[in-house]
Amino acid sequence: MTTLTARLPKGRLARSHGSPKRRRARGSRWGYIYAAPAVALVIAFIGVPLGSVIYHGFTSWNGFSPPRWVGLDNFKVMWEDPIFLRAIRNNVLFALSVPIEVVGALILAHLIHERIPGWRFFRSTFFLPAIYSTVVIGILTSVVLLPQGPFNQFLGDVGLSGLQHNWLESTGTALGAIILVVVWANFGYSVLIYLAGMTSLDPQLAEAARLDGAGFWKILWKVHAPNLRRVIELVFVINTITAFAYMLPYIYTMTHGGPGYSTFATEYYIYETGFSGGHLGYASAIGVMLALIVLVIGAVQIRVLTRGEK
Amino acid sequence: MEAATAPTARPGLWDRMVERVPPIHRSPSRAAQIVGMLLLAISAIFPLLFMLSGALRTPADWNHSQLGLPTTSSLEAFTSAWGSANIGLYIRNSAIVTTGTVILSLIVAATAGYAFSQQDWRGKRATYLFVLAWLAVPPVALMVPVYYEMSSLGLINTYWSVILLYTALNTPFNVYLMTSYLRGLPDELMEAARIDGAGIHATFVQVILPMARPALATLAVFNVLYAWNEFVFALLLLQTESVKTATVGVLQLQGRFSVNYPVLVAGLLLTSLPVIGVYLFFQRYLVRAIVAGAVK
Amino acid sequence: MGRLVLDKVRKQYGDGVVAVKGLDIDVADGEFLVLLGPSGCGKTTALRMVAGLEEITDGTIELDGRVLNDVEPRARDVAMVFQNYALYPHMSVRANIGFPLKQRKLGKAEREERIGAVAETLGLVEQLDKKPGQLSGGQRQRVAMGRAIVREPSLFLMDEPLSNLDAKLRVQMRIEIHAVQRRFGTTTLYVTHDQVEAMTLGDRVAVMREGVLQQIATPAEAYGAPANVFVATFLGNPGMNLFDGELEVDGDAVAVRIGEARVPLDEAELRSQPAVRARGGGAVVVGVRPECLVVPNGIATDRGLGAKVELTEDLGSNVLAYFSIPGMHRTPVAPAAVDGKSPAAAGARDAWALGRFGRNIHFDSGSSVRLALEPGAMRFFDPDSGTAI
Repeated sequence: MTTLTARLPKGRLARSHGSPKRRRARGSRWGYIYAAPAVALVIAFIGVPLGSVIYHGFTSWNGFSPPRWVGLDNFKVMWEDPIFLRAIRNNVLFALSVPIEVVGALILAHLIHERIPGWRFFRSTFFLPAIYSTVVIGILTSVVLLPQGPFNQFLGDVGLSGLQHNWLESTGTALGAIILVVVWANFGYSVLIYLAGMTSLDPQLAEAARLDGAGFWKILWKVHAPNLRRVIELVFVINTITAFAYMLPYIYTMTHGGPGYSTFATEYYIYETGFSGGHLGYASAIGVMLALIVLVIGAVQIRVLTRGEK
Repeated sequence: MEAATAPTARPGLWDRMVERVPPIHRSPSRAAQIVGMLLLAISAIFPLLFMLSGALRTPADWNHSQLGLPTTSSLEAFTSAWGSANIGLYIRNSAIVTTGTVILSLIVAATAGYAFSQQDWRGKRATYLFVLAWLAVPPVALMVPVYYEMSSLGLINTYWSVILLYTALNTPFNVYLMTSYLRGLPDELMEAARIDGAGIHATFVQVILPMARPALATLAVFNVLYAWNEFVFALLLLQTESVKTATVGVLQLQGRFSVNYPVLVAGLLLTSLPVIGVYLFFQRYLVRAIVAGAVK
Repeated sequence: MGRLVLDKVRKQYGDGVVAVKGLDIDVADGEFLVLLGPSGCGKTTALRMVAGLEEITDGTIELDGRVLNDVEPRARDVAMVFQNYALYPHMSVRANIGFPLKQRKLGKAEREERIGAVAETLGLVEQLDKKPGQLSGGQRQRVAMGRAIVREPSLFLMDEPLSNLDAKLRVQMRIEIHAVQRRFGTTTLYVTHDQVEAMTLGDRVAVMREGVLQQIATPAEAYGAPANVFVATFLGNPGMNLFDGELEVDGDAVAVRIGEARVPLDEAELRSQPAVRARGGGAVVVGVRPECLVVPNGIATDRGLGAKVELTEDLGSNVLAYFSIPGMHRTPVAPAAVDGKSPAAAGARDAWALGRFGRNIHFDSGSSVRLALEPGAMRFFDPDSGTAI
């Protein structure tokens, strides 16, 4: 009701009563004041930095002398910068794990939803990796994967010493190790999102399908998955964005981007260029590019996944 | 946790018969499924066990073996992590930052949620969307300007830098969750309060806030986990020893020339325990946050 | 004190929907006025405008001569009981009842005293420290009443306060509301779609339809002499029978032809509806309450109707019988003139007459009977406008 009245044209009210509504006027003023802290915070610490990063992306700046406008130079350089291209390529490789996670977590969630024995225990423990700090996970993995660390020791103990390897310092395995860790760290989160979405499923659908003789997979793919489109899409987007914009703690603690640039990511490049290299203009430009990429991923995935819907 | 897979009432004899003989439970793959789930669950608990057993070892014992039960047991690693490795100080700093972030976040989310859900004002919807829109900006893209903004505000190496930033970064989600919760409250309560003589502030304090307790608890848990675990901006903005938070502080145990691994894992365990405790005790609130985020 | 005057009150929403179209109501001090109508008739909107929860698009609302249009709800000196009670779930019963007093910055001692007195009146003393969630539906209803009473306002507003209770409790609470209102003598505006509540509680009933006031009268008047076919069919369960009739005026004698029957009007009917004779003839709609159709039991009458029993429904306390009347046509009142669900608009049954009889009367389906009209039973309506003649 209140939203309806809010749309009343003001002029007519004024005409019929001579004076504007005191109630509405009071609501107005306090509405702004109550919303003000939130608005102020996002403008001050997201809006202003975003404006700043966009501006500085078009400058050459070392943090001491005033920034110098260079137009699109930073962005032109970027596409010929092998390190940047390598970083982007690595982000794409990180993102290749997303389908595994999207499907894997869906199956796990379905099992829990079907009340597999021990489902409460699984539901609680699966989320633990998402509770550990990313830094703790990164450091622990780097300890476990040390050349003389527990993992190699374990391989030796079970007679697979031939597989022992310097996991994080070999080009062939460092990236894979990071991907595995990230998938592991996030799957519980995805499972919970699916479970949340599954609460809205009509249990009678699955029961009817079961009476018709549909098995586990058939119920999952034919009955549940079509109704979970939006949730699947959400898991997809969240994990892809993670692969592009939330990898820094893992890389920082596990490989520092190495060996060589084999695990270098865009975020890490912003950090290195900006804070170790002092090329703040360039770092800003990369920041702009990263923000754009994330925006496009979100938009594209939502478009692609909702294409079939009228 | 109930919210995630709340059991649906299934009355009727027919349904109960179906329940009793679910064909799925007889499928031979069920055993394999359970084994797979168990392995995953073990992997999720493994870090805790690994940190605990590692922290109880002496360095010599660690060099001998890192898996299995420790042959010696000593709390030395914990005491030196807490004391000489400064983890105690870092944890205290994390606690300050987390507390500040949570309090500020709750105030901001509650007031904004009230404005967006229960009051009428021109531009309300546009402002709401404006606040939510910042969800699309990845915070790491803002590393450089945030650092320079904080430095020009003189906030580098102060708790306020991360408290303000964390609160701002989570405000879009916090406000979204709070607004949708408050929208779900019956309008009649607010109308009754108006007729009973409560003004805008009295309604907020005496009616809205007490009724928003579940949402506030949810947000508190969510923001505790975020603020405690955040790494990138803590690394950038809190560089002096006295203000470093735990996630950045433990890194130094790894970075030193010769690593004392029992002390390192003891530090990691100490860093993790508070959030694990929060998770175990307040699981259902966290789940509610995720449910709210997922079903938007 | 509490005289409420609504003067040409109009409510138009932003989307152009007009919920209330020029409402004029004058509620005397101490009066219990019931706003009655089907859902969507604007009665709740009218109540909410009085409360200050909806803006008034046009017209004025006055309480004791003070124009309320621009007054804050809390400054209007009105108390409201909501359909869902709207009790604050986190507060005890004591705090709920005391909430309006606390907002008025009354001292704790006085607050406690008044809460105690109200709790005493409503039998809530034992419940004072419980939370609303621990109370039964009837107790919650009492707390909501208590919260309204405790302020001693000039005006009570009640928005379908009994509709969430089960049937038995509803009767009990209806009696309690009546008693409380009598005891405090507070002017009350009561919204309901339940005509039993309207008939039993109201000093007067204001029947609304599609934002327009149809009739405002005592319950007996509205029932006995409905202002139009809408009120005729909306009030009463089942509503008034509407027959298609032809008026025949011959000197002093006035009769109406209903189907094959010719029924003379009696003294009472002519006296209460003088305009009927003045019409001089022509088509009319004849309204007869179901209980005014009687079985003559051998007594000769010139006010009889031949009818065929189509269907009977035994309700225990009485019997409903549906008759078809030879030569009677579907009543010509346009469906728009009556509520959409009324018998006149509902197809085949329309051609039937409905009677309500004592439980010892038995009809055989398909048999032909002769029915008589009670004295003064007939009400006449204009077939075009639907208004009473």
